[in-house]
Parts: sequence; structure tokens; C-alpha cells
Amino acid sequence: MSLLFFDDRTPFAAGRAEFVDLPASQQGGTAKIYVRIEPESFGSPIDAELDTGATWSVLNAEVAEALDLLGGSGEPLKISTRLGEYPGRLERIRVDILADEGASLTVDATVWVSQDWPGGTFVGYRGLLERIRFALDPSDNSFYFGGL
Amino acid sequence: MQTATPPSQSTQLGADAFELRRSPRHVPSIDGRTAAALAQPQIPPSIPAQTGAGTEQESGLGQAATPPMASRASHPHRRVMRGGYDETSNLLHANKDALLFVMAARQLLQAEQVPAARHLLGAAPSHVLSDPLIASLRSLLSPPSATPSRKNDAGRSLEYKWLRAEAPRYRGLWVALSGDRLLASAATLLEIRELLRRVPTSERPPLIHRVE
Repeated sequence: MSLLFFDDRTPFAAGRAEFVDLPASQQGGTAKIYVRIEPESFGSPIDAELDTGATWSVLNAEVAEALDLLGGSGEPLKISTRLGEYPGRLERIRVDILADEGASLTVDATVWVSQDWPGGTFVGYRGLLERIRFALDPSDNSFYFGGL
Repeated sequence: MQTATPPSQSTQLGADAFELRRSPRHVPSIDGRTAAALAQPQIPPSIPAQTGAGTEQESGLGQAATPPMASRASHPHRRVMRGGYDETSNLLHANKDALLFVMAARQLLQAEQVPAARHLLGAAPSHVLSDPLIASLRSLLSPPSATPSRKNDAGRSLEYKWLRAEAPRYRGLWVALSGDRLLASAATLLEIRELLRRVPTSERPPLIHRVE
């Protein structure tokens, strides 16, 4: 099943999910777009901020701990963020991007984890979004997605 | 079970918490020693000693030598202590040539030049490609693969409606939602998962959200 098509009728996206946009802080600010994912064996869907400007996807430290990823042997990598510079590791995990309609997507993804990371969970470009077609329809908060 | 009045303390994170601070037009380079070593005769000339232009080309590392999901468990000798980030510990097991490639790839990664790192590793000679550390790194950096799944999570509109209306009262907390019902809220994910074990579950798991 496909939900969006190119002009030549080849499929663009096979899944659609509602996204939620929430203000970045109590004082307001730009709305952040959250999409629903389920990392590996977590057992519940969680919201992750869609951030195409982030080089890597990031798991909240508590989520990473719940998945037993903090003691892994992945590639060490220090990243620099607005919250500071943090050491961490790249790890390979399965991430489900969950659909309301059509097909969800299971991505064999590379994510960055760190026990020191004080921020949330982000869906970034390298290692995850780079092999996914996606589109946003703000008229009804739809997030369309599909594999390449 | 549920926190009626959320604590005023919260973890206030600035907007775009993970937006990377990039130096303008930062062009990565491999340091001189590594570049010189990579330029040894046994290395094919196609390997870029200096990277920058054209690094957005993908290397096509789709087939990793080590299955991605097996990589963590299959190399216990490289496992580091919990919480440790010693970048050199696992290098002790690599052969000299592989070590040079790993060092170069790491420099590229640190400079956020992922395609260049993939290209470098993909162009390594066969005796380097067979090194477990290189295989593991190639696997980790290989482009993601996406496959359709039958898993479905239809209809979280009520949860999102709740978040839009109530989230500001729960900043810094984890919340678990089922429809328009707050099942639990807690300061830590561990606590909220513990609380959820005591809540009668519906046919599907609750949505878990950390209010920023």
C-alpha cells in the first residue's frame, strides 16, 4: 500500500502517522515536531524530535540505558551541541517508525548514545533519515514516510 | 499513581537542543602523519588522503562484513567498561594498517564527514577490510536499511491532544498516556516503567513522552 506517489505513480511513501508539534520551552519558541518511534525492544512507542539538522539520531540517556546500550562497544564519538560537548558512542539498533495508516518502517539504524546526554531523543539524518523518503503536511499534522 | 501537581523543577533544555554547532564551512582533514601513512604503496591511490570536495558521494557499503545486529555481541574482547569512552582500547587488537584506517575514519567522523569515512573504509585493501575492527566500523557506518513492517500504532490523536493541553504542567517529567488518560508521570523513565507495571494495560502499550 502506498499513500503518496510521484507523477509516474511510483510510490513515495507507504506510511502515514500523525505528528505532534509542541513549543520548545515554557516561554514558547519555535514548535518542535515529534514523530513516533519504537527503538528495538523498548516495548512502547516514544516521541522523538525530528531534526534533519542533526548529524546523528540520538537516544535519551534513560532510553539508551533501558535498551542496555550504554555499556556497548560501539564507535566512540564526541558530539558538540547547544547543551555542550558530550562523549558517547555510535550503536547499531533497529528503530521502528510507527504508522497510523499504511506500513510502518523498520530501520536498521545507527544512533548516538551517551550516559551524559541530558537532552531528549532525536531522529537525525545520518544513519536513519538518509535512506527514508519523508514529507510533512502541516494542514493535518501528517508525517508521510517510506523506504528508498 | 499519577502526579496531580507536577513539580516545578524541570529540565529546561533550550530550543533545538541537539542542533549541532557547526563551524562555517569546516573542511575536515586527516592529520599529516595519518595522511602520510595512508599514502604508503600498499594503499590504492583512489583513497583520498585529504578529504573535502566530493565527500558527499556514498561508498555503497550496504553489505557489511559483520551483521549489524551481531556486532555488539560478537566482539566481547572489545567491550569496554560501562560508561567508559576510551577511544584507544580497542585499537590494540587491530593490525597496523587497519589502525591507520581507523584513525583516519575517526578523524572524518569527528568532523561529521560520514560519507568520506564510508568511502575511506570502503576503499581499504582486502587485508585491512578483513580486520574485525574495520569490519565492525564499516558495519556501524553502513547506510541504514529500511523495510516495511506490519507493526501499527494507529490513532494517537487523543494522546497528542492531551500533550498540547497539559504538557506545560509536566515539564521535565516522563508521562505515559493512553488515549486522553494520563496513566503515570515520573521524574525518571525507570520510575514510570515501574509504575506502568502496576497499571492494568489495555490492548496496546501507552505512548511514553518526556516533556521538554
